[in-house]
Amino acid sequence: MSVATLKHSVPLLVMQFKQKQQTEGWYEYFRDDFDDDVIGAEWIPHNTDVNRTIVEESDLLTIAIANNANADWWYDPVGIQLNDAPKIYMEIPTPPVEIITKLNSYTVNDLTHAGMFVASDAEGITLDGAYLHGRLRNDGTGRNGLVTTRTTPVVPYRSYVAVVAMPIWLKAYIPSVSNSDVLFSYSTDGINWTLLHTATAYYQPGYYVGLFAKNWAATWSNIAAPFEFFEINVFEKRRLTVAHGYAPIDVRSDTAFYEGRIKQMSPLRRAVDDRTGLFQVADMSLTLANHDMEFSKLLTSHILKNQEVAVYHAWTDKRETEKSHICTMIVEDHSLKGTHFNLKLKDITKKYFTKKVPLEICTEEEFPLIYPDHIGRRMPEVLGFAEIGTEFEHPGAVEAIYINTTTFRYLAAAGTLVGVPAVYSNDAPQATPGDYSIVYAGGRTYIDFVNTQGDNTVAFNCYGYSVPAWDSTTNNCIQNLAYIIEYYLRFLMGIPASMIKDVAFDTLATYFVNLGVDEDCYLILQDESDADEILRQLLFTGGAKGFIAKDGEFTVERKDVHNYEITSLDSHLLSQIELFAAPDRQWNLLNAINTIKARYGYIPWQRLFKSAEETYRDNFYDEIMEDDIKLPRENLPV
Amino acid sequence: MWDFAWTDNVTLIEKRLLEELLKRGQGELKVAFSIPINWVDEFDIFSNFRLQDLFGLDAFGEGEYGRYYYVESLTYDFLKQQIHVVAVDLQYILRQCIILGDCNKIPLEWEDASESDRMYGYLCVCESGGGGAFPDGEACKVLCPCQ
Repeated sequence: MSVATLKHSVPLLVMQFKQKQQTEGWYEYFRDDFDDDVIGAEWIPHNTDVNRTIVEESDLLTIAIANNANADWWYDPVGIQLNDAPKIYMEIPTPPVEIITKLNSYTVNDLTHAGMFVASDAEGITLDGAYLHGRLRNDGTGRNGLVTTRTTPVVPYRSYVAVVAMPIWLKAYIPSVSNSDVLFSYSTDGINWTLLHTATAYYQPGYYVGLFAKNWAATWSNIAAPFEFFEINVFEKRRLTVAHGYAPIDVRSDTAFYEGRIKQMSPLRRAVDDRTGLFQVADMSLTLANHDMEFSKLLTSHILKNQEVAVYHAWTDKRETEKSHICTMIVEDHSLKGTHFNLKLKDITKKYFTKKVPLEICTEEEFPLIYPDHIGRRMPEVLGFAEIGTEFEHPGAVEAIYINTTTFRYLAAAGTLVGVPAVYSNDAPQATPGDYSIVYAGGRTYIDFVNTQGDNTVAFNCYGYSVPAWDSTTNNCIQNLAYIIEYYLRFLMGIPASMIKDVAFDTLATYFVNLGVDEDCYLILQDESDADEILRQLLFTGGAKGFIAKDGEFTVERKDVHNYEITSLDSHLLSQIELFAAPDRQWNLLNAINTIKARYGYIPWQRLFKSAEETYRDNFYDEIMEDDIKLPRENLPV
Repeated sequence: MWDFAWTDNVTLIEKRLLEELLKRGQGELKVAFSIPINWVDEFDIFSNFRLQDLFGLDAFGEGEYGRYYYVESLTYDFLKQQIHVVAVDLQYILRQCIILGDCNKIPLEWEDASESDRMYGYLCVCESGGGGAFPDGEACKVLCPCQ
C-alpha cells in the first residue's frame, strides 16, 4: 500500500542572538586563504617590480625574485644596509596575538630566505629592523633549514634548526601589549609546535607582521616562495552568538529544529530598480509567539538588534539541507507585548550602503601639522586614469590635501597610485624632481614639495589603484568599469569577498573589452558622498544593474542584445493555468523619453563635467501627439 | 540632464543613450502578476522568462505565445503562498534582432513600419568598423545568439 507524500511550503528563519556577557578566548581576527586571485586591501605590498613579484593565484600567494635581482634585507651598522626584499604586511592588532602561516614546497636555492617577519619598520632601513622567520639555505655557513634572524647582526640575533621538511607552518606569538617577547615557532604538521627563537622585549604597539622573500650576494639566487594561508588570532573577550530557527509550524530534520513560533510575517520584496540599477529590499515585520516566555528569558541575556536573520524557503518533502536561501536581513527593532514578540527587519546591505565615502578623514590626530582649512577633508581615492589637462581653466583631476605645513607634504590618495604624471599648483605645472617628488609610504601616496605652496590649490592627474588581475594592459591600473565597481564594493565599501560574485564581474568586464571601452572609465572620490549614490552612478554609466542574488552574492549584469540568449531553460508561464489572475500590463507613458541631454567625465573637486551631448530619436508616438497639438487657434474649443 | 559621470568615452556614452532611448521611447512596458510559491526556485531578480497570454500583445490579434520579460521585483508572501512578480518587457532587446516575418503583412519600407512591425526582418547596410544605420539613425540589427 503506498502512502502519498504531502508537500507543504514553509518559510524558515535562522536568527542570531548575541550574548550580552563576554566570553574570553582565542578568536580569529584575520585570515587570508589566498583563494580569490586578488591581494586584499588589508595588505600593504612593498618592493614589487618586474623582477620582484607578489602574485595571488591558484590558491597560493607566491613571492618571487628573479635571478640576479637584488633583494636583500639587512642592516649592518658598518656594512650593507638594504631593504629591497619584496614583502606584504599589515599592522599587528593588540596582543595577545598569534600569527600563523604555511609555506609550501619550493626549490630552495643557496643564499635565500623566505617566511614571515615581525618588524618595527617594514619599509625603512633601520637598526631596530625586523625579525625574519622561515626557510633558509646558506651553503657557505652550512645552514639549510629553518632560521629566525634579526636583520641586524647584534648578538644574540639568530637561531637555526636543520629542518627541511616542507610544507612548514610558521608562528609568531606575542603575549603582551608592549615591551613584549615575540616567540617564533615552527611545525611540520600544523598541530605540534616547537619554539625556535625568542626575541626578548622586542614588540611595541604599532609594529608590523608580514610575509617576505629575500636573497643576497654573491649568488643573488632566484626564489618563488608559495604561501597557502595567513591568519591572525587574538585573545580577547567577545560576545558569542547563538542561532535559533523558527517557522510557522514545528519543522524537524536530522540536524535542525525550527520552532513553530511564527504567527505573522509580512511579505518580503526583493527588487532591482530598473532605472537606477540599485538593489532594493523592503523592510519586513514578524510576530513570534511568546506564550512560554521564551523571548522574555532570551532577551535578558542576549542582544538582538543589528543581528542577522536569514530567510529561507523549504518544502516539507525535501531535506532541510535543500532549503533555498531567499534573503539575509538584520534586526532593526523589536518589542515584547505579552504573548507576542514583534520584530522589524531591514536589508543587510544597508549596513554597507548607508555610509559616506571616502571612508578616511584627515584629522589633526593623524596629521598634527595639517593646513587648518584641510582639517576634516576626506582622503581621496582614485581608480582609472584621472586626467584634466591644461586645455581646461583648472588642470588637475584630483585636489591634494595639505597635511604637513612644515615639510610641505600633500596627501594625494589614501592608497597607492600607480603613477602621478602631472602636478599643478594654482594651475601652474610643476616639475619633478625640481619642484616636487612623489613618495609612497604606509600604503599611501604623497606629494612632497621642495618649497611651500602657501594657500595654493595643488591638483594632479594620476593613474589610480592597481590590482594585477584587474589592471588594464596599457596603464597597469584598474580602468575597466566592471572592475572599478568590484574594487569599490570590496575595498571602499567594505563588502566581504564572500558576498561578491566574481564571475559576474568578469563577464561584465569581458563585455566592456569587446565594446572597446575597457580602458576608458575611472572613479574619483574626493568629497563626502553617499556610498549608494556613487554605486548608482557607476552602474548607470555602464548600464548595469547591481543586486544581491538569492545565493547571497552581489551580482552585476546587463541586458544587452550582444549577449542576450534565447534559451530553453527560460521559464515559460501560461497565464490561464499558472497565474492567479490575468497579468496587469502597464505602459508607464509618463516615463517615456525621446530626447536626452547628457553630461560625462566628472571632476569632483571642480564640480565640472568635461563634456556634454544631446541625442534624440524619431518616435511615431510623438508624431501623433504633435499632430493633436497643432490645431489652428480658431479651431480651439471655446 | 543625465549624468554619465565616470567615463569620457564617447562610444560608451552614445551606446548608453541609444539604449535608454530604445528602452523608454514607448514608455516603460511592464507586467505584474501573482503565481504560486511553487515557482520560488524558478525565479530570481533579472532572470528571463516567457509569458503566454491569450489576451496579450500581438500585432495580428492572435494572442501572445511567449513574450519575453525579465524580473524586476519579487514579493514573497509566505503565509499566502504566493509570489508577486513585476517584470520588464524585453521587446527593446529583441527588436534589435532579426526575426523573419511575413512580408505580406508588414510594410516594405522601414520608414513606413510601426514599432511592432520593426520587430521583424528589416535589413540595412552595415559598414565595416561597426557603422551603418536605418534612415532614422537607429543602428543596424544584429543576429542574436540562440541556443
